[in-house]
Amino acid sequence: MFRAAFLLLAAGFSVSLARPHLHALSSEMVNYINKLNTTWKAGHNFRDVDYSYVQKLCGTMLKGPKLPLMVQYAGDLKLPKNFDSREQWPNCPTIKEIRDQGSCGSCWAFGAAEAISDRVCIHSQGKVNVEISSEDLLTCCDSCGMGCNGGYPSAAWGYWTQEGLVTGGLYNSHIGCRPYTIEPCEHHVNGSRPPCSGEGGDTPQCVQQCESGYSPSYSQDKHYGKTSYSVDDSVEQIQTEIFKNGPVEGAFTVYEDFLMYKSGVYQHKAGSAVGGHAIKVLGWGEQDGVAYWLCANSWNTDWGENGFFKILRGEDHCGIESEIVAGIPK
Amino acid sequence: MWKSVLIVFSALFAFEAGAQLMGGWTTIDISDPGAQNALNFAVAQHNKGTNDMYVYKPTVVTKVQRQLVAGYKYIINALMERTSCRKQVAAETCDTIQDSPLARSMDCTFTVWYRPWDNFIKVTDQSCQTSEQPSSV
Repeated sequence: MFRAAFLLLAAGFSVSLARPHLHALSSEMVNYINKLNTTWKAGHNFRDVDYSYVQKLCGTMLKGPKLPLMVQYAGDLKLPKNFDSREQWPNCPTIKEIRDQGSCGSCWAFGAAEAISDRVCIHSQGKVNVEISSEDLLTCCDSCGMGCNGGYPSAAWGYWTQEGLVTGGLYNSHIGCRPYTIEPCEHHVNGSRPPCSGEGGDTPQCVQQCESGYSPSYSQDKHYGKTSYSVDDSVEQIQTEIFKNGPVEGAFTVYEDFLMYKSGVYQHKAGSAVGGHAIKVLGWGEQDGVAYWLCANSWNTDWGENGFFKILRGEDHCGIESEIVAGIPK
Repeated sequence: MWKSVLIVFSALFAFEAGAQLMGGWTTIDISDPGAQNALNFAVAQHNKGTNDMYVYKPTVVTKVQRQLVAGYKYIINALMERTSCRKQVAAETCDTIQDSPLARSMDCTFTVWYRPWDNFIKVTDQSCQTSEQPSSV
């Protein structure tokens, strides 16, 4: 029979037909973070967190494919104290864009497609300005992992060099060949997201065809990478890569407190590990003497600092410096 | 002078850390408050969506998995049993119906998406199958 523990559905669980009172749950963690006076501020959250339980990090770590390691000689390169790709390459608007992965574990495809879009523009001196399709990468790259159930950033960049990626914008944008098909979902009446109709979350089909109304063919719309590589886990190497070639894809272990990030330089303070998460790293700097990486998340613009966040730099915090991958467009 | 960039492409310097799966699933403890919240919500939605006169409640949770998406996604496997509470009647306690022709139970899988920063919650999938009535312990 069922050996698992019994859930204690005591009086509190009144089997009511009403929506549970999320708002009534304590925002203990938010208060905890904000009272610490640490380098960042937490935002509203209605979730109750039990600090006593520390979860094992990410269960089994599946090994993904490897990319060659790139080591750059940065001898005579003077790296600035602050660097923001959005300001460095103002003619490349995708650098400023924040996407939304929705209810799918496609962070790995977003971090890659975002950084690739930026790099295609940067390396063409602003002439080729497209949004590379997260959808194409998510749905067509079998070697990347398991689609919406997780994937490998390194394999995503490899796929770009081998099979290429078509263009495609945000959900319902009708921009490019294959826009994202998983809805962001909004429950606010006046929110920025479209209302949620369907289910979503399963990996969509690999459709090798552009949506109607988009004129180049699927194969004509493919953009290819010349090389893909992983970047050595030193701060200087990562900085050199971003400074010369543009944003990179990074990954780190997300803890529960990260979801409540509102502003400042994030460092893990509370909650258990949720799992590996991929993002785009687009710069660095110092805030009140605290060194950070500037990153773009794929959780829409109402999370964090308009969708962006800063995370502690220089001590491989949550592994942020050890999983950097990138590549050069053809 | 040196070329300013010395690029070393080499599989010899294999990426020692390997690569971990990003955006994958983790099995978590059923006592996790977020998971409990998700389950409560899913059960409420389930009861709203059936035409059974009675309210069902989860009596055993067999597995909870969590994934990082834009927010959290939970997959919860639970045994749902029919209680003696009628839907229209507000009741304090709802005991499961035992040893009666009315007794019924189902194995259910709920998928719930929860975004803590804007308090968005949605049951994105559910499936239930009638199960053998568990013999009283």
